[in-house]
Amino acid sequence: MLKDITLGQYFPGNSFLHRMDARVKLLLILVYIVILFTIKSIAVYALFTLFTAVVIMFSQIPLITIAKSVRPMMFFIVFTAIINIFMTPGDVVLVSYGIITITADGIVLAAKMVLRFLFLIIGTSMLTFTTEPLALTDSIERLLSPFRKIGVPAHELAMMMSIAIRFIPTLLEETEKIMKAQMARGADFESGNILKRSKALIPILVPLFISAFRRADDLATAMECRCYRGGDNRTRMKQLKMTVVDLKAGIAMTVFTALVIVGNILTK
Amino acid sequence: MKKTTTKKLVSIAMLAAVSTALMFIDFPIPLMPPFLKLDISEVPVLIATFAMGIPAGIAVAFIKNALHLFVSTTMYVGELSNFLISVAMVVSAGIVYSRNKTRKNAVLALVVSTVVTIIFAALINRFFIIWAYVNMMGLTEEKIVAICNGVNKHVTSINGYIYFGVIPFNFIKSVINAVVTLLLYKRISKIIKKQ
Repeated sequence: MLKDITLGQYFPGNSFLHRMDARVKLLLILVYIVILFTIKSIAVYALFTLFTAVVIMFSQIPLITIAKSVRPMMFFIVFTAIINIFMTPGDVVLVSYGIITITADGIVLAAKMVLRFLFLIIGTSMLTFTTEPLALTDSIERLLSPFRKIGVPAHELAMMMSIAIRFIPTLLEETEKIMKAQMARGADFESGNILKRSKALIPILVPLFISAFRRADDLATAMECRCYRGGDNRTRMKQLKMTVVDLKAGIAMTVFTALVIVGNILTK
Repeated sequence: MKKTTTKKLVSIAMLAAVSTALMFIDFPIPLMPPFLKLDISEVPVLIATFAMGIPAGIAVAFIKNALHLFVSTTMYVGELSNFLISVAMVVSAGIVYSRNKTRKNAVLALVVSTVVTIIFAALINRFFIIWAYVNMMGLTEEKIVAICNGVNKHVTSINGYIYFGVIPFNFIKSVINAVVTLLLYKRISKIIKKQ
């Protein structure tokens, strides 16, 4: 179960999306998500689907890989759909049997929500699939840096995020190992009430925290040895550069946003 | 001086990683709607608050929720509400604990933060989170009530959801996180302080 997590899963390649600047990509994904929430009509959803399909094509990520990133969310997508299908009141009743009523409005609403959910997942996984985690946190740092004046520690947050992304898989693996080790000694995590179960977690947490602190100590020493001293005047091996690819992507996104806005107004 | 800042930065990052990892080990609670899920990811947040102060606690909560956005199952509403509630918890626990760093005061800090967290959670759910869910996920208040009514017969209105859903959930969650934090902090505080 712990292996299914697609967090920060970079898929190497040299597609249009891979060559884009991470900052531009991050901004455009934010625009993508914002306009996704403004859509009300099925016609505009169709336009959005088309656009997403084109983006997927340009990313050259295999569909099966994208499907895998959707799979852990399947339960919630189905759940949202069911709630909307069975509980939306409407004038056109399609099925009415006992307490079950399905209305046309319900089906339409369910379809819209499923699409919204899918596009949210696809949008964010497009970003994580085509961007190296370091480039991603770098661009977060750059985009947050204007807020440094009001006290947002942009560099520190980005640095901590990079470290956290790097160590989550390691710690998950370690958690699994500790759990197995404790189970081999007869520990029981699956039975008893909630309080008992959470107390049973202590034997997992103590080694996990100690190992995390030990790793932190080692890493801090290693960084100190390489003269890490915060974000000021820090240079990078991989510079973020904007190219003509980003200009094209920006223009495409602007046109698409305009189309969606027009579509939203027309189909009101 | 420099030494401590790098050390602190890395420790916060590592606690955030532990917290994110713990978010994936969640268990549902009986009698609660399925979108309220219990996990012990607040434990590293509280440990960070106790060991390194309020800003460290907020940083851990921020990073864990920012990273969880990529696997959000609630269209980002869950992460936002979790972050806001964490901040309330960290600030209240931090203020009490920073006055006097003893074990007795740590217990007091956790009790105070539990109370503050529950009140704050009830308020922001009633006036903001439910509204956000309704708008993001195409739900209506009636639908939320209906989902909850399916698992708990006492919920018949949106206020009922607050009384029988949000408040008991946050109570259970805060108590479990507080108990685990206390048991854990006692055992690892020596290691934190030694470094």
